[in-house]
Amino acid sequence: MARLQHEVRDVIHGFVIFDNLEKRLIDSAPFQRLKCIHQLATSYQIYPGAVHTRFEHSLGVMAVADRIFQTVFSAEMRDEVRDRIPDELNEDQKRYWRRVVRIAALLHDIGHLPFSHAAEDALLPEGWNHERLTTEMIRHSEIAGILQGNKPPIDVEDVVDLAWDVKKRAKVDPTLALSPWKTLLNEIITGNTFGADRIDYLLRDSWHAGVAYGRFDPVRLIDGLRIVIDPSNDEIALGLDNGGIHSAEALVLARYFMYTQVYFHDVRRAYDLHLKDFLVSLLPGGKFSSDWNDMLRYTDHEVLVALREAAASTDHAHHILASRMMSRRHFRTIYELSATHKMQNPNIFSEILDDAKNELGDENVRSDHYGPKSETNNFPVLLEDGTVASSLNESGVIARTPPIEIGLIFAPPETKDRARAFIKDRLQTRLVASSVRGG
Amino acid sequence: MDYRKPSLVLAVIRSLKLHGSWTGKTHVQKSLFLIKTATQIDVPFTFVLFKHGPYSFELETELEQMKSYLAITSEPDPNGYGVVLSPGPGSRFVDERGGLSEVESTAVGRVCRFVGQRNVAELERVATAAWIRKRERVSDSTSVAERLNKLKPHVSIPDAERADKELCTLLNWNCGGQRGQS
Repeated sequence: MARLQHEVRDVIHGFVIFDNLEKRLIDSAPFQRLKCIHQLATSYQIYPGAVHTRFEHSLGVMAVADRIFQTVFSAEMRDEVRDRIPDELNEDQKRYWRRVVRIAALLHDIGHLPFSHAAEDALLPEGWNHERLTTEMIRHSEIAGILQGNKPPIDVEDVVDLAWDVKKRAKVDPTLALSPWKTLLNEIITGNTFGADRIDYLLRDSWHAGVAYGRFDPVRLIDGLRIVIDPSNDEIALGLDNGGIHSAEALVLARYFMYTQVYFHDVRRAYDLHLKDFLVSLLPGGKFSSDWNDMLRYTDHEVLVALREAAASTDHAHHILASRMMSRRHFRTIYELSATHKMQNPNIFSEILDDAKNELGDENVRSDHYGPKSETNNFPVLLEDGTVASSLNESGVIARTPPIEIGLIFAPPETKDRARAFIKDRLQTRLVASSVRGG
Repeated sequence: MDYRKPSLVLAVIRSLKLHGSWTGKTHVQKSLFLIKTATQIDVPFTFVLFKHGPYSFELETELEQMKSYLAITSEPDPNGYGVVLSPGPGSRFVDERGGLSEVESTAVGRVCRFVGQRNVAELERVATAAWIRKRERVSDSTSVAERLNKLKPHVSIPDAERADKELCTLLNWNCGGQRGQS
């Protein structure tokens, strides 16, 4: 007799259970491809254990999203919330939408480029990103046939609406008007504070990297999730029971430390730049195609083979670029932006970068800048008396978690000492000049 | 660094405070959207229709940037929901290098006087009505209210009609009458 249920063992969540439809999706070519895409790109050069892939992360996101869905729809729901979504709370509807949430969570990353986020902006045509490629694959690859062929069928557009982060989608589709219901379910997967994607990647990435920063209590956090009316916009939203506030604080801090210590590690960022340079030189026109079918051909494996070939032969056109990565001859950090410098001179990073390029030559200076970016962790907190407050009022930790800003300037290892001495000198001059200008 | 964006943001925050607003992010967002929609001022932020009505991700980024050099500060609002934005010591960098013309300052003041005393739910309704009229080119009051109710089902038709009327008064727009009238 055919099995109705399947399971795999996962390092973070234990057994992840899936049904026959989900098994067909997991077995599809777009999903199997994720086994060959590192979750943390080149971070394994710094954290050797960080060799996990998008495949296991996607299974984990499905497991977490399902747990959130089950929790919020089985918890006691206040009448004013129930009145907003009477049709969706019908058992048949709920069963359908639980399936869509699981599938959207499972498929949310299938459009990733080789090496995940590393250099995505530079390597795709204007207006494209991995989220948009994901939706192309859901709509047009064998996945669409699997969803439509199911009995009862799953609407492909429902999966797209839940899988594509509504915040990122709104940027490329200004006319997007997702219903409050779909926005809520989208938040279960992609939400800033409680999204299943975030919960899984923090736990998984910290486990594989071998760091303690990303840890928090996901069981307590998910157990406290509730659907509430958000006072800031009078819409249904994912909120948290007041008893779970400390687990949310732990998650917010976990994310802050993972970003500053792991995701934005300066050596990893240098590797990303070298990888981007190599791929820009290697790819026709310097970019991947936006054709989803073409993207299926590329994984980390193809890129690594190309890197190894180029690094092995001194005659190869891209030998120097490849050997930066393969022989650990990566650029070294010569300046790192500090909050204090920026408060003294808002332009300090670009001024120092210009100075470095003038002194060392454009070809010997690379830079990387991210942020400043605060997390939008202003979420509704359900108090014991039934009122809803802001997380920013209920938690000083959440209200005061610093924004993340990274500014790095790099130079070749052979010039790093001279470059650092030069920057040190210029920095003093630039900061003093700004202080005089500012009075 | 281009100081046009931070100059506008600071002018709005100062003007909102002058008109009694607690100056939350929503007030700043909606003020700049209405200034862009209702006046001739160049507002270099792109807006999309998002969860709370018209919203600019670029403006959110600019607020973060301004916080990082203390041009503005952000504190939880003890009496409300969200954060209070205020000019900070780093606003001197903006004041030294930016600034608005008198005409621009007057227009900012007119919109902020309207926005200042309203709560976020009212602002969401009014700004979404402005979006519908300007971006979707819907011109009769009945259709604007129906569209607003479709986008935001929790906004009743009478509330939507009131929001549209307020908008038309603010903007001195001749908004026409019911469907079928010109």
